[in-house]
Amino acid sequence: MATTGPKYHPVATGAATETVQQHQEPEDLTLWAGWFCPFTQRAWIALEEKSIPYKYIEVNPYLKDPGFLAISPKGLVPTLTLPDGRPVNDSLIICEYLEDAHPSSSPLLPKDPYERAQARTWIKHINEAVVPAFFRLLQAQPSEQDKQAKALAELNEALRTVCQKVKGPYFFGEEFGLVDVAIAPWAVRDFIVQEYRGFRRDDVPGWGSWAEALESRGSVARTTSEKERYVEFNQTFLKNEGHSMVGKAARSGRAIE
Amino acid sequence: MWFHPVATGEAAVTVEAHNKPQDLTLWSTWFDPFSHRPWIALEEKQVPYQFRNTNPFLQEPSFLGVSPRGLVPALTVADGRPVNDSIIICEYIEDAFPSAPSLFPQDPYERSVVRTWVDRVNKGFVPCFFRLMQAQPTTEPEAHEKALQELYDELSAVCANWKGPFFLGEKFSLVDIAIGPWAVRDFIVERYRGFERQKVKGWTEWAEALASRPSIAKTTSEKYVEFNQTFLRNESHSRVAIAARSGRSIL
Repeated sequence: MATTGPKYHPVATGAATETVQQHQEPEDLTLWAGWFCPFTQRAWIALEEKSIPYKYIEVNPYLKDPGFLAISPKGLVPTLTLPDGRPVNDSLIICEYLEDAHPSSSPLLPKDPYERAQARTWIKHINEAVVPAFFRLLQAQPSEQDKQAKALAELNEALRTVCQKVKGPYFFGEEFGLVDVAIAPWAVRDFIVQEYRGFRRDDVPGWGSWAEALESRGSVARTTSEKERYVEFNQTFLKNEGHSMVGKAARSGRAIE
Repeated sequence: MWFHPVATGEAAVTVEAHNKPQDLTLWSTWFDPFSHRPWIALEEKQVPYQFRNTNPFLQEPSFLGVSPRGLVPALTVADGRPVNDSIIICEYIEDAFPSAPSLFPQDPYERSVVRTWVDRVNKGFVPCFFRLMQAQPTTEPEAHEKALQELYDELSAVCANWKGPFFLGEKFSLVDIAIGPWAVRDFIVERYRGFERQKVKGWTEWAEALASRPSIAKTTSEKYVEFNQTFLRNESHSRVAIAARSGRSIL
């Protein structure tokens, strides 16, 4: 079968395999997912946290299937569809939708308006500072030492800022919430920039303990695939051939849309 | 100062009516479209607030304590703790004062639609507007033409989903607040950059509904052109201008 875009293992592996298998029946909500995609993992974690029934459908977004583009005009995963097919796009908008639709199942936002504003502020920081810095570091080639050093410094700084606000074990303390959801997929993936790009958890005060708490959270562990498969998928970034919109955006310095 | 220091017109009256200390303080710059958003939200909710004008280019120490990056708007609550970012401030106002009028619909799916289009206004329409302001028609005609077309494309995409009179129809929502400040500023690109309202289906009607909404009419000033001269000459030192010039989205 002809493929465009990066070669990667077509299905979830490791702990995520069972979660996928448990969500193959039709339900009100359908999660159109890329097992490899950190943004998909946010929505997936939220569904799992709130024990909301959903059907999981694996999508290769690089194939740009017209049926998928009809519900996700930018061709991005994740997308969530309702029973009548109406789509919700964007990982964080999906999370807020799930929160609005299921307010009493494991709430992911605080009740206090000021704390909610703080949650949104740090989610924005994660999206606009931490995540792009991570992708720029991933794509900075070993032959580009200056670029790599700069990207590493930016990632460390972006992480340091948010880690200072973490009460522990999670962002707001005992309660796992949307700020944790927003960054958890990168706790799962920072081993890649540790192995290949000189990132060290110890270089960022507070990140090691927060990342460990995130990785071991049930909803995160259950939606995580085998490490080698993430490396395989990320070869395209590691060799800076990025086909993805997220890679292109990071390379040109734009925030990821 | 090279721009008028205070709000004028109807906005001056509103500022006068909100000059006493209150639990909520809106730190604002009267001409700034981002500051305009939470101002609209506060007026919609009819809650007490103090309006404090600050000149962000001066980076006054009292203000930097409230907004570390020196960006307006900022909202401080009773104990002085700040909320930053225009949309996050509006969401805070909604959460803190859930009584009518609500800035969001009740239905979860409709709420996600509001979030989607607020995001689209912020990431598409707004940067396009600033790039058009900065594209000089005489010295860079190609860049100007491109910027004009991109603005038409972005605004058309949003307007295609506008039901009228407001984005969701009868109900005024955060999408209207997100784009509202530009409904009273687009005359600048009409006058200086060749923008024509009638080229975007629905925009004239939507912009008129926005401009006549009391919360917007009462917070609109008269001297926006004077401030915007630096953008128009592409000399602006503001972060928003620098971001737009380099093609980054406004953080």
